Amino acid sequence: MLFTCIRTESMKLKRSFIWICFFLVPLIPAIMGTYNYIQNIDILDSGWYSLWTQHTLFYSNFFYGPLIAVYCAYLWRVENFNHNRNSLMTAPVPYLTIYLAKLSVAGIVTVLTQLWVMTLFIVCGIGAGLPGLPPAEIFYWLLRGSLGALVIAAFLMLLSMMLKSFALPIAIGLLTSISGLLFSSYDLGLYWPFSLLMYGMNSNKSDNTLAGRESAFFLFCALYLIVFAASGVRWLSKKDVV
Amino acid sequence: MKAFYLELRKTKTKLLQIIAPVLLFLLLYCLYGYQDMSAHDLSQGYYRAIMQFFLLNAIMLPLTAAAIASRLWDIENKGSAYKLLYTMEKRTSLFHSKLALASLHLLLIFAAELSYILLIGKAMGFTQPVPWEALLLFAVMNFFVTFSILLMQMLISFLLTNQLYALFVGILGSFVGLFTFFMYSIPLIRLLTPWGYYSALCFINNYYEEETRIADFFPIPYDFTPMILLFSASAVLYLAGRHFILTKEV
Repeated sequence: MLFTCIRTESMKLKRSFIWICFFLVPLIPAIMGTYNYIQNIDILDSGWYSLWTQHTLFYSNFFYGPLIAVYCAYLWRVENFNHNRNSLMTAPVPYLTIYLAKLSVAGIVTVLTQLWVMTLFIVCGIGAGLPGLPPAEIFYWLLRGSLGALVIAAFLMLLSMMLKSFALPIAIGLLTSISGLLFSSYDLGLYWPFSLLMYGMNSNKSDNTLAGRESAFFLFCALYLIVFAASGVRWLSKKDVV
Repeated sequence: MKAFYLELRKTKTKLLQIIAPVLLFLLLYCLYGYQDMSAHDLSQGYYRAIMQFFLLNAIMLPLTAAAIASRLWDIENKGSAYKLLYTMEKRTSLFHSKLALASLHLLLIFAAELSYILLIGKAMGFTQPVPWEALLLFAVMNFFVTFSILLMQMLISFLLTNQLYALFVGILGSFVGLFTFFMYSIPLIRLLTPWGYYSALCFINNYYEEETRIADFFPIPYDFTPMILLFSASAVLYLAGRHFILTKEV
């Protein structure tokens, strides 16, 4: 049942405009980051690691959040038209399955975005004249960042469902990203759900920020993911559709 | 005036719902971002705050303006209500009332920003005398930049019923706005995009000395050329918006 619902949700994204956002939004920090790297190549002398700092500086600190919000808000947008939510809630599908299917699709697109970011990173690195391929550690940071991104997706999915608005979750997505930056600047990011993405991606750092604290990172990611997903399912099952 | 009240009733508190998190965030930023200031920092407190608010606005307001514009046209777009509305009120008054309502919310944002700067100045004990002229100029310049972006976003939200386009442009704008603060070597981006004007008009600069880790904030002479360009662009956007609203077939 869950897989059928995931397939149904995926169909809603077919030929959708979110794919233009998907391709274009990560492209801008990639170009800007590479440009910045080339301009400051004398100071940024750690090769692939230095390029990583420039690529992730603004992308994960400011713009990945709103991009995830676009995915989540779009998945609920369809339900907000023509009383579609009534049809959705009267379908013989458990609330848990409906919610998890939407969350899974948002998660899949989120992880795909990370892969696209990695592709751009490699292409830009080669274009900037860096030797070989990026170190394996950077691939690991990207995967770890995906987990942090899933936490944000779970929160924004909940918000998009509750607010029934397309614009508001995206604006809030930007604010949560900036709040994540503030918490991480006070080294409290591990406890704040919106900083986990930056910590996971090792944003703007060439040394591993999470060295020795990785188990706490995974623990908090799992905790927030469960809390947000459970809240979403509960809200969907308790709140009446109007 | 009647059209304005109608807009107010249509949107209820929806626009406030958009700006409230922004204002709350800025308040929290002020509470946490200005702690443990040295005597040197306190002596340039207002200049530092003005520059940081220019940067924060460049990041947050393009998307906020996109969200406001999208919300304003949302009801008409969703319900295909133009035909009905145009039989009851003038097309231009619909446009003007929406624009007035959005501008009012922008004014609210900048009034709050000014009060925040003055409040943190008092609370943290800035030793720099309050630079009233600079504060006023900050509010006026930021209002006009955001207003121009809002005009453009209103046009996009009106012409393209799928609000994803408008919000995508908003995200893009936040990106460009932020980058223009760091890309001094490409000054053209600042003047060619509406979001670049936050940095083009920013009249406070800073110098960071790495050895002592001290940043000096100082005013630079105002350059009104970008302001003139912005006014001209806003006028073109206004006329284009008016034209599209008057001629759109419903």
